[in-house]
Amino acid sequence: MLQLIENDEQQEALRYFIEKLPQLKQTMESLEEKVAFVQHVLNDKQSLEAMFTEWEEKAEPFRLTPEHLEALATLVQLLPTLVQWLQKAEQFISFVTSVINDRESMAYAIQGAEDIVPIEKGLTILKETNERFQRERDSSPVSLLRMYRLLKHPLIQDGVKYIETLLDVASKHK
Amino acid sequence: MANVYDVKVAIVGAGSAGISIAARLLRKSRQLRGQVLLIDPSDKHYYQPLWTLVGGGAAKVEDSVREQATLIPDGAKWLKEAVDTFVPEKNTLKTKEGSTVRYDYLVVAAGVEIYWDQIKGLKETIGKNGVCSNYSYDYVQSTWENIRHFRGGTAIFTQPSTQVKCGGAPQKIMYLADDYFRQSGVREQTNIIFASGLPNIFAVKKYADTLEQVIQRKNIETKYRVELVEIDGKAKKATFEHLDTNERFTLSFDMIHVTPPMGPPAFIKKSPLADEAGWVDVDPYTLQHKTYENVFGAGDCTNLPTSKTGAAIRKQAPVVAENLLALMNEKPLKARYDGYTSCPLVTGYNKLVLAEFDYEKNPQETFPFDQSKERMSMYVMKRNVLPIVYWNGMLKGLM
Repeated sequence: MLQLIENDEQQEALRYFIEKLPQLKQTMESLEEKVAFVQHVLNDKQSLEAMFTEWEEKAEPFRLTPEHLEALATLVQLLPTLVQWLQKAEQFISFVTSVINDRESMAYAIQGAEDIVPIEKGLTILKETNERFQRERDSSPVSLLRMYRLLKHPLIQDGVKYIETLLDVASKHK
Repeated sequence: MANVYDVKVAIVGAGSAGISIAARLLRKSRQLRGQVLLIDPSDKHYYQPLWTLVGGGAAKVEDSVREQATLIPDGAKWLKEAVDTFVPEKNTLKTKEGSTVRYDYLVVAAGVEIYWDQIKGLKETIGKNGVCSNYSYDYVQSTWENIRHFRGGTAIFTQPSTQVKCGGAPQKIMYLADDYFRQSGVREQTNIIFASGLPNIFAVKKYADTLEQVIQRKNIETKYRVELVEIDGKAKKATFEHLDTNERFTLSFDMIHVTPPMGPPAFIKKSPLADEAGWVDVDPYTLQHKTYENVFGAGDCTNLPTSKTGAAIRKQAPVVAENLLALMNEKPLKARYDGYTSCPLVTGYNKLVLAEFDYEKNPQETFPFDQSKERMSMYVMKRNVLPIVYWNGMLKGLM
């Protein structure tokens, strides 16, 4: 033993150990306190009982079954794909939110829509039609000749032809 | 005021590419908040694809501009100065105002420079004497003024032999002008000439075939491999040089739409980042600089062998952002850019051919129909949808 202590390496280690003794003591005490706390908790059956009962009560409404665990495993498997879709959805939602909050873009979109669909022109036609209908309303019955003349109008002709085509196509897909 | 900045990522240029890349970096990595510095002297941001329609009287110029400050992504900083010198060996750049920026990673997205001076007499007469150009916010409205008040004669539309931003734009305005001349009843008295430095109407055959038909239908005279070299506004004469024979010839005009020559910005051209032609020298697929691995390039200032368009930038931005983050995390650079670019070729009011292709000039079309046909739906998309997608999707790093 004495021979061993005379060894330089052993003496160096011993010196380090002695130097660090106060810190080691402190660490040991702290560790001892924590171990004691865990032991106390484990012995405190009343607290453990209350804790587990509360957890079980909270988990009970979920009625987790082995199927749930299987589903969870499947969900985990699908996560890489799902995350891709979620990212796309998040990007889309962020884009829509950005457009809605961007006054200039909203004004541009509305103006663009009005250019494509001439709403004002359509409203003017409707308004004029209503006014003229009210003004020129007559009580005379609509004759067959008048109906025939109406049927010859290009708009009605196109409409009838469109309905014919639609019925033809629909019957093929029956 | 001269300052010293120390940042993780410096982005030179706050145009389409710069802002889009900054937004993507900040969306993907929250740790970069406050660490991304955009450097750009301009306080205005322009959506330039709209200028074709502005020049054709189909859109308002004010819809093409926004305050730069409103577009800087949340979490990024903006240095409103112009870069003068790159010192990539020291991960440093200097601005004209005297500031020094030290960076860990650099993205160069400074766009192209328009060489107005390269055409003799152009600067003196642009915006007047029937001389106009869609390539500047200041002059784009003069194009519409010229088209609107044209009463017949010769209308010339030029395209230089250099690369230009949106290679289709020089002919788009011509098709709109033709349409308007027909509507206003002056087409019969008008000779339209397309004078281009390029050898053909379009580089991709599928779309070139359609455009050839449009040229024929509209009775437009074409002159290829000719470069506008001089313009005399007062005398209304334009001098061209044939690029194969060097012979010069002069044409009289009543209106002329000039697409000026373009090239790399001077501060890039003189820097160690540039290739022989002056463009930022990047790998065509990863967009990483070929010499300095912490430097990336995107957009019009790079030597990518594809058409310089906003649509190309839309595909380049995610590649730069992803590869830059991979480099930061010491992972391999997996994102690849395939040279995708797109040119919405307006062939008249309510008509558009949507050209989309890659490095190999193979069509790479988005929609499930033949996009080489002239379609109203595509025109509506360009005019009404794409500006909104740009401001709210692309610049936010979402699309």
